[in-house]
Amino acid sequence: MQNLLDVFGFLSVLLRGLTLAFQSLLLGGIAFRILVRSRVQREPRFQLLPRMISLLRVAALGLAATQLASVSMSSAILMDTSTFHLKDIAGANFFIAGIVSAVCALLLTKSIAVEKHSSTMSSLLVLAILICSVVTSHAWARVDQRALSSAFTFIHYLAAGMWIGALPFLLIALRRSENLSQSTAIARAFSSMAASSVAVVLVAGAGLTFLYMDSPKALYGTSWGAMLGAKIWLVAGILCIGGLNFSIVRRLGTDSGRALRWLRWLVEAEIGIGFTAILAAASLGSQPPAIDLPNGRVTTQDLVQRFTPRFPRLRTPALRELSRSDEQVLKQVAESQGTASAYIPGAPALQPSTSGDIAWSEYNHHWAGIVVLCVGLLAFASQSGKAEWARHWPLLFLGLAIFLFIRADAENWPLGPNGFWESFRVADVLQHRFFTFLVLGFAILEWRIKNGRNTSWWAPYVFPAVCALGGAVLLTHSHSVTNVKEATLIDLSHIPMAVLAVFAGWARWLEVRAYPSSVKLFSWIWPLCFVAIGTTLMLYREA
Amino acid sequence: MIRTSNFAMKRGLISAVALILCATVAWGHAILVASSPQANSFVTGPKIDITLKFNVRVDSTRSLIRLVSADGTSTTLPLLPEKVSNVIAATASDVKPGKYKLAWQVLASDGHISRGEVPFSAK
Repeated sequence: MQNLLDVFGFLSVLLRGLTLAFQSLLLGGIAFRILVRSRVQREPRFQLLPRMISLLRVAALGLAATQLASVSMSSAILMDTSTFHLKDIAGANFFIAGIVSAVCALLLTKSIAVEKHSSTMSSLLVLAILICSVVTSHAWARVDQRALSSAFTFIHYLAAGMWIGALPFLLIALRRSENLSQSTAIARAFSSMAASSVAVVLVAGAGLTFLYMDSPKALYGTSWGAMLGAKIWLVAGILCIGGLNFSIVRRLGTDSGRALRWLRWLVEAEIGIGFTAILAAASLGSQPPAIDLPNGRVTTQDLVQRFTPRFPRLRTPALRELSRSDEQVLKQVAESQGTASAYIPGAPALQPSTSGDIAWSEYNHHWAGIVVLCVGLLAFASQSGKAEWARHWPLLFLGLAIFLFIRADAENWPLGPNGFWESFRVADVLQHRFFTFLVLGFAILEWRIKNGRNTSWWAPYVFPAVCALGGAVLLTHSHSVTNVKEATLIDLSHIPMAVLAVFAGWARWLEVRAYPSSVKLFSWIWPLCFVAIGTTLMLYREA
Repeated sequence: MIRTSNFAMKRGLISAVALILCATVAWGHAILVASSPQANSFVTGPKIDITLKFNVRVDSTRSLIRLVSADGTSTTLPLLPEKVSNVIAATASDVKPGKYKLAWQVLASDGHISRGEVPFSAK
């Protein structure tokens, strides 16, 4: 149970993100079915395709599973940390809403396939799911303006589902459509629904921001504000792609095969960034809103002090300048007292960072930034076609992987007193080692592709997928519930890098999709994102 | 290794290559906005009225307050019926002089679980 307690914060954000994603898919699928039936009358042969029904079923089963997991986890935590029994918890708001939502989702798996001519039952079930989601959202717990914030949340979820959640169904329709005119009719009908939904998402989002944020300064003063900023950037990115789609749809004619192909690729990127925004929304919803945190905010002076550019730290402090890790302190105490050491990962640090710790961390950030900056610049050079040798840029990631392996956990082999195998017993270190090997594998794979040694169809998608997924996971992290200024400052430097990683990933995805035709815009965007990430890392400071 | 700089380092280095899976432990988003006794205050026993006010509505039937003494002895206090949706209250009796902390755990109306502590001294 202690292990569950340690990861409860992260798991609850992840499960909430998955709940919102599955809920949006269900809303989008039902809305798409109604839309196609009501607006694409010229094509009587069009029905909800088997693949769409399968996707709806997967979403319904996924929602039921995440709701049950969420209810089980919260119940287990409550029972373990108190004298409550299951019968005491069964009447709780989250318990009832979670079970009702899961049951509705399971009923949906049946009604989706049965309803040939009407979506009434499915619509009612998905409406019930939406209501359950609102009563487990922050809006429902507000002391003031509860009704208004709940109404905004309901509308926000509904419109987001009809826009982002319906995109995968549009993609399936475009891929499986029997003729060009049918594709054009579906794309045009969807375009109108999406445009209306976007307007509603923005209005409801602005309403919630007005209720939850007391001042524009909260955008940089709190972690909630920093996450809101990330969400705004992601939505701006989706709107740019949506705008391109909108213009393509408006110009579609009878000989628009190439335009439709581009439409499909852009919809793929829109889906990716859209669902990342939904995961970011779950992370945003896990924190107290800015209006509840008037004290201890990051000020303009803090920002200026922390983010004024300085020359990167290129010399490492000596190992002896580092403070001992908490594990080492506890181990020594346990040895001296002859008792077993007990250590809880995720618990507050036993000792504050010393100047040596900060210098060590900044040095690591700055060199990592230099490597990432060089990757971006070499990718630029490679794209220009004037520097053939620059195609070897993936090899720089090899250096980064070795650097991470040696320096990320200084208390372990090869630098620290803990042996190679001993270090694997610590979860954090195990995690670092896993990512190090992932970077290593990814670097070798990308280098082989660039040099024509790997021609598998899937290989070029590994780079964009890893980039986009990495950024999305970073945005889904949980936060400190109290307004720790230092944590906010770290968020302010790291959240933009996560957004840039997402954009880099999807720009590269579009470049790969469009190959062999060359579209300069996308092939320049992702190296630019790497340059920005590298620069941010080089300017990173902790004091 | 949980040093602040290391926490930042983990997220920074790995995000540099967009490969990160780092989470701090967070416990929902109900936060304590006021308390009686106040944090680090001195109160007169042996009977102490306790009131905790939160930023959001809480489920008082599924929340709890424990009185923890300096030697680690913990007593769960029965919660009093409270009319205000974001407040939980209890009364501690027979409190002897010494250092204590109130360990609270609340279930917010949105299903989030939060917990925290309020240290105080009784005289």
